[in-house]
Amino acid sequence: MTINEKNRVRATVAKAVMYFFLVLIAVILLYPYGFMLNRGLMTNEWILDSYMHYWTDGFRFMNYVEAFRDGGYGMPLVYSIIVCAIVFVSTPLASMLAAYAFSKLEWIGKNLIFSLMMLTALLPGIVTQIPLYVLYNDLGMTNTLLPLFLPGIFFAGAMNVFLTRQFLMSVPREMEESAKLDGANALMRCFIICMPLCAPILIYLGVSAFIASWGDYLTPSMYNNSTDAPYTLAYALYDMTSRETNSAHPEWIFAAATITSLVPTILFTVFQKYLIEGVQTAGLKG
Amino acid sequence: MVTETAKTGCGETAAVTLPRRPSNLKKRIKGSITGWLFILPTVFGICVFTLYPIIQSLYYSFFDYNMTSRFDFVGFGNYIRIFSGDSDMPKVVTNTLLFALLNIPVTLCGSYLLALFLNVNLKGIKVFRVLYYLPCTMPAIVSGIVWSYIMRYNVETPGLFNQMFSAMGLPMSRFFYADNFTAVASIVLMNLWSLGGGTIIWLAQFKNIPKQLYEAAEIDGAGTVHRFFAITLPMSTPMVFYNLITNFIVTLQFNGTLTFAPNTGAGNNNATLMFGLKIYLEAFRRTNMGYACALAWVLVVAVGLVTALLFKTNKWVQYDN
Repeated sequence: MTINEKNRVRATVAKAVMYFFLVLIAVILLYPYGFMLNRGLMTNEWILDSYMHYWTDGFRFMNYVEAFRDGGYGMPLVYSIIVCAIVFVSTPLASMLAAYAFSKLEWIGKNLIFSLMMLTALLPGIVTQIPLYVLYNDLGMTNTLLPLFLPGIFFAGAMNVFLTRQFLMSVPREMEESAKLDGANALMRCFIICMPLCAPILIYLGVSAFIASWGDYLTPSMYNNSTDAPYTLAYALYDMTSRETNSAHPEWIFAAATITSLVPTILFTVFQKYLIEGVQTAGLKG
Repeated sequence: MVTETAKTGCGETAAVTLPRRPSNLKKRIKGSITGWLFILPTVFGICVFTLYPIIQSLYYSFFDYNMTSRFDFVGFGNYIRIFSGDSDMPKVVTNTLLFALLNIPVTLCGSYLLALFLNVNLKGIKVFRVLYYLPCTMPAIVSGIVWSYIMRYNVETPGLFNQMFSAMGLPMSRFFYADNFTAVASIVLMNLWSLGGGTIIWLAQFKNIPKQLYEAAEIDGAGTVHRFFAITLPMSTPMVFYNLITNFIVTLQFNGTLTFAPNTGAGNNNATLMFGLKIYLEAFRRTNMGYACALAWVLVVAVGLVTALLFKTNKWVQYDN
């Protein structure tokens, strides 16, 4: 064998070893996901067997229908969609409005408000959540969907506004000049001229707000204290785990869990370009 | 709102062309109106949903308050109780510290190694990067349910892991049903499945390292290992530092055991009772609002101290410009 051939063999072996480990780690990491998918498709007898089976005994897609029709996850699905739709729209809009004021407009007190806003990012959330519960309780907003999206309509979160502001600062002033001459006011310049240019960051904010709300079981668990409250999907699942009794239909739980997971997974796969970029800039700039 | 912003728009142009200008302050106030209108919702949101609750929570922390019958001023009573009266607290502090000291190094090093592994030029590597991230897209409540099945401890109906252990002739583990440190270690083990989240950020950091550094090192005859320790690792220190701080803050507030550990997340014998969970349980399960607020303020101070300490000791961080 010549040295050249030897090197080629060595490179091929190294590649094969790499692929072997890449696949091995992928299988291990995706194992819990597969476990959930499998259990959501099992028959009732198979899932209640004292031996915990990994593979399903068939593909019982009716579980999905039954979980939402008979298992009590139907209305929670509707409520989750309502809340997530609202935050998906409100987060980018509220971020845009505030970021435009911070980056493109001159006003007295700008630096003060900006520092104040950034300070709120450092505060542990639990400090505000307890008095907010008292406030919501006084306003009769506990056991409604309002606490899940109302704060975000006004203030989109310090990090979100900050990232949008960074993005807006890279938009050149000339972009707005001609619109300004045509008599476009600040609101029009913000939403008609600048907003489309900020699409990448706004898509990131909207989708990640959707995903965060979709999986949020904690906020409803704080502000709901009645069984008549509108349960979101994540909260319905949490409520199920916190009950002591074993469910007669664990396959419905896993069917509902599958749908609860598939939505963020699909959103991530579709918008991965924006999400990865967004997570990276959030990590690098913060 | 639209008409008013339009008016200020006219005012700006008029001020430039007119020979007689209004006073400077008056002009600045007039020019500020648009900005103020834009920031009004944000300021309202910060005031109502952040500032007001902060002040209120500090106020409540000096009261014995259960939202219905009791609202009694107790001075520093709640704070004294945290440090000397609450028999849960020693366990809470040790569990939180143990979790932080185990979880942060393991997740940081683990995701870093995984990122190094994924930072190669192979066909289809991008697909693997996505696959490795997918477990992170699973909502916390779902992974809590899934893991409570995988790690279930029950002699008649063991979970998946214990089934495997018995098949291999190993003793069963109680995982987070244990009444000792095994419970916290199980949470760290479970967190290994979400390493992909940190990996994404490391990969971005690697991409930002100038290629010339590696080329220069190669000319000097530096091997792969040497290049890693001389270039990659020092260049990643700002990111290590950032992740260290954010991980510490998140860990101190962690209450995720709610979704999988027994006894509403506290575990058997309070083995998984940590600071974040303690506050949650006091506030939303026992409605000890005053005490919970005092705990929350202790957490704020702890977070502040840890952050300050980390910033004091950040000489090892190499900022390039």
